[in-house]
Amino acid sequence: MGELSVTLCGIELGNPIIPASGTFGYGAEFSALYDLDILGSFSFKGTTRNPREGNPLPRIAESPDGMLNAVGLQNPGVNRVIAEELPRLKRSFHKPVMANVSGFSIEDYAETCAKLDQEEQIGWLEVNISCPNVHGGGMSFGTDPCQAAAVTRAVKEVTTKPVIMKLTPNVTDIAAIAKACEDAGADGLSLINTVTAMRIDLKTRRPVLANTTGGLSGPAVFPVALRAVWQVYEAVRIPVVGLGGISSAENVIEMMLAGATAVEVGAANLRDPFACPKIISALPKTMKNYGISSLKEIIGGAHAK
Amino acid sequence: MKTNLKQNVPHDSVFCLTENRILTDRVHLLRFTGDTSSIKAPGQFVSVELPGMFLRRPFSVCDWDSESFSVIIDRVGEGTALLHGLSCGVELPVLTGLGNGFQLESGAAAPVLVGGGTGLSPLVGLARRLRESGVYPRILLGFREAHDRFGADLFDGFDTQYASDLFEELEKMPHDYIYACGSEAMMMELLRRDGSDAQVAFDVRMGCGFGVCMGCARKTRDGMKRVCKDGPVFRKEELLWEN
Repeated sequence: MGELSVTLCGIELGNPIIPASGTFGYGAEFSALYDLDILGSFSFKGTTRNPREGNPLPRIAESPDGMLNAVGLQNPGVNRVIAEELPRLKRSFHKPVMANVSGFSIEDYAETCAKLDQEEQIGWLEVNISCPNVHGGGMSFGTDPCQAAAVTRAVKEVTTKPVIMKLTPNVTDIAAIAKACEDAGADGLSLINTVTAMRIDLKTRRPVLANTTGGLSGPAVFPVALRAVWQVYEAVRIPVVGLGGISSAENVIEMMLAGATAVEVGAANLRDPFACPKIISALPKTMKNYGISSLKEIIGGAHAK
Repeated sequence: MKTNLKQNVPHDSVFCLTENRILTDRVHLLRFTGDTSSIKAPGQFVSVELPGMFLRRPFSVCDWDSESFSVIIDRVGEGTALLHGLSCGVELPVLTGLGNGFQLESGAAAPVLVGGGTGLSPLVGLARRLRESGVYPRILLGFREAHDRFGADLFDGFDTQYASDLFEELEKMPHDYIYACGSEAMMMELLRRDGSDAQVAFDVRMGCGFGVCMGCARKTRDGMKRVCKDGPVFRKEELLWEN
């Protein structure tokens, strides 16, 4: 049997599969469905300094081979996440978890990360500078190399945990943003967040989403994500977590060949709650089919030596 | 106030379409045969995976037994049109046991079930459950236009009537409790006008259907609630009127 383990910023994962933020809550719903310890880790729901109610409905739209969402970072706020969600999570998940953090100012990011830094079970801070669905925050930090660097520096000052900056594909040159984060001290990068998109209802002649635009995810964005991971892998030396439309063990291998050290699985969890266990159990046979004895050895393997 | 029982666990299994009955020019009743053991209460829903569609489609269970469940589907878009066109024998993955259904209100001796359009669907199973508990509800069905009407025959043996004005008919009908499902506007107007306690089931666009994507959240007196996981049935006292 092939070797599935990988190391992400100094922390070993039994396998590279990490359910992506926003598709897995804080783990409670999925812990009723399967043993969470089979996962490499998971990235919990994007958490902000203050509680957020999110955007008006509808927040979801169907799209060919994918979906749009404009949830708008609904979450109970960092204090309740620490008081209520993390103690509950500790009972069902016994590995380091990835804490996904969002904010509307550099102070927001720093304060939320400082609080989460105190939590033992948190292995990595995944800092979302790429949410397309809220005004005045999120993505604006991720579209400007200087702003992205400023958030990275502010977070690095308040934590000793590895900091993974989550990047948006909605930019001209994602490698430039990646490089700015690396230079500012980021320990890793994850990409891509959703692709800005919209749908219009032909009957009402109005946008389907109340927010007008949303973020496209699912298999439709996989080639976009793969291209972005490829470009970023060429530009930086820190590890890259690849995500965007991954739905199969073949997709995992392809993403790792492009340069991903680990992968996140997002929209697939919403279509099929058992998507991650299915991918994990399919990995050994799929590796064998392609002559792969250890996943570690294929990271970036598609790049010219 | 009663709290919901232990949250139900979704179950994924393959069902076979065994009936596709035309009720009106845009409404069909579909019956799926398979493992229904996770369906515990009327008002719960299922989520059907469709070929060529990314997201599953959620439908309230109309009624169910140990071998099959039925759903009533209004043709509102591509997914529902695809379902209308399916032939018996087709097998589809279905998540069952989703959401919290109606709770039988023990103190209510004369409940009325109010359905707006295809919102009558979960009331069919609810009427049966109430009758099994010794309570005979009256059924009131409202439609936008008289020619849209369907479904009275699904409430076999009950006092069922179509109303041209739901609110007027309800005033004339003695009752001490309301169970309702229909458009949000219809249900909120109903609860505003009528003093009875009530439970209402919401029909909203969902992402996952099992509580993780926050695609269907609704503000309530107790904060944000997920229609799919905390609902789709809510008690009147949980609701905010200005929502």
